[in-house]
Amino acid sequence: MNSEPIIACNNLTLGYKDTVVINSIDLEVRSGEFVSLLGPNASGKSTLLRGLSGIRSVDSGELSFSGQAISSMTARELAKHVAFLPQFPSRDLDLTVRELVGRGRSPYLSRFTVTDSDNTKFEVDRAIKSVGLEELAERMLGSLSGGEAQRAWIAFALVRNPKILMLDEPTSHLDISYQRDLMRLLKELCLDGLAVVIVLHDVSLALAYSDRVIGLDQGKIVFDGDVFNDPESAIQALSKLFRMNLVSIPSSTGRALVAPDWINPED
Amino acid sequence: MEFVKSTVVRNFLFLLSLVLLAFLFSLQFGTSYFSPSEVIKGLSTADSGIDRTIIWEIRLPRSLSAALVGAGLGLAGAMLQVTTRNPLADPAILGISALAGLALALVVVVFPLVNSYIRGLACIAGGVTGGALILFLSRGFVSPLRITIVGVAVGAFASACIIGLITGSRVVLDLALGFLAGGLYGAGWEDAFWWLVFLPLMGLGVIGLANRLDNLTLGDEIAINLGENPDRTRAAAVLFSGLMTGIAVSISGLVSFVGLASPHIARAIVGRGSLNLFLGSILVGSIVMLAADTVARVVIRPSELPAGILTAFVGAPILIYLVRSKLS
Repeated sequence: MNSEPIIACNNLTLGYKDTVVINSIDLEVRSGEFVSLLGPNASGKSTLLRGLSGIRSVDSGELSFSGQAISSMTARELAKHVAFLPQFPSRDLDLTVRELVGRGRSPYLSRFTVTDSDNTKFEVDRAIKSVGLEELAERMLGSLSGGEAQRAWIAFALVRNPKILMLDEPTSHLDISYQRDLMRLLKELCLDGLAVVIVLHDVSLALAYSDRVIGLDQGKIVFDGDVFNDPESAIQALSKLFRMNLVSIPSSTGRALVAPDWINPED
Repeated sequence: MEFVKSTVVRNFLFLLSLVLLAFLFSLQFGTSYFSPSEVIKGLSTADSGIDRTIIWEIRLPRSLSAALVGAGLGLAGAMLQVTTRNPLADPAILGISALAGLALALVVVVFPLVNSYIRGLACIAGGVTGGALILFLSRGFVSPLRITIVGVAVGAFASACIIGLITGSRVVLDLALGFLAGGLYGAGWEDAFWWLVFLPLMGLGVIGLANRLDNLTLGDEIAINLGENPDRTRAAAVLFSGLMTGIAVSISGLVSFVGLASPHIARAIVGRGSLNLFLGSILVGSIVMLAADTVARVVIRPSELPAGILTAFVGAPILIYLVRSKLS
């Protein structure tokens, strides 16, 4: 944990016109970390993710990637560093999985490239394999299930070998087994050194898979902790943040398994 | 994958051979008929016989103009359709042609004696202004339908101004009639200047924008994350389409339908991706325009119809067939 942060921000402030959405946040994310951003609706999670990924410009504060200030990077340099996917990437595209993933290489390619180089093919194959879509590589994106399309988009994001992957609510339209598979996949990617930051609504998924949970409320970080070694603090903080009791369930792995207490009459 | 690629190449070769065939026909047919060997003789001999004069001085420049106007309009239509995510986008429907025409009408009414270069520049200025106006008036709009409505309104306004200007000024009535219906009557070697401007610009536009526009189809946020600047790319594509349209209008007047139909026909033949679509639309646009101009010269010879009327005559059945066959 003493490596240089892949992403670091100081006094980061983001907003729309007169409204401040993210208020003066300090944050660092390091290689291999799996970070979940949690918070009530309108707490600024998605805005923070877009600010951190460089998709929207920063109103004030400093933002740097591996020690390099964002202002000194070209759009393509930034693209090689950070991969971002919105909540619902389009499936209505006239592309095969392989073609979609190939598009993800564009930060590395000249505008005049017409045919794929061996290197591009190698990287595309590798990314498709890393999400387990080899069998579906020639299928059209629109013909895939929601979970498969999600994997295709993750391969699209991975093919540029980013240092950090940012996903906005990637599980929101997946059934529970796909949700689990996706979190496992992200966890594996972290073990290979990728940093992952995701916005989640599901507290139990976040506590079961991420190393670190950040709680946001009204544009401020109200909790930032290691949920692997100290799940209790996270459970307490998140209960308070969502004003809802979280119940710990015994699990065989030692990871925190929690469920919201949906039926507590006192909440 | 190899198979797919070779099919695409084969389909491009098919389109290219159709362009050459349409070009040959356009040299053969007209008030008088020439066999292919007479055409080749007319192109290759240096004597000053009447056949050579017709083929070399009248038909060849006219055919080259037709091919390039069609290519430019096809490309402009394809680029507008991709940029606005609207399968109905086209320089005529979005009012860009009408603004190019309005600029020309203004210049001709105010300065009736200006030469063809100034007229051409006026058209280009009008076309680019049309593009800029669409961008400006539809800023903040995401819906393709709204952008189309803005374009239709701009076009209607410009057309009304053109008619007003022309009826108010009898000087330009002759010019105006030919120009409003669209056609290549009177095209000649003096247009060669515009061909030389047209071709490299088309190449630059295709190369510079195809890849960027492809990335924009993934969604703006994803495109930004890939290092693109969606607003700038869209603006460049619309202004470029205005430029193409301006040059086309300066040569042929207001020709409709080529920009609308060519991309749909091209897409059905050469498949996916902006690069294929743009190159395909260039070829299909040429074919449609050459065919329309040839038919225009033949149907009521020795007189002729404006080609602008016949582009729809040639293109509409193909388009309807393609749309219907996609259904099944």
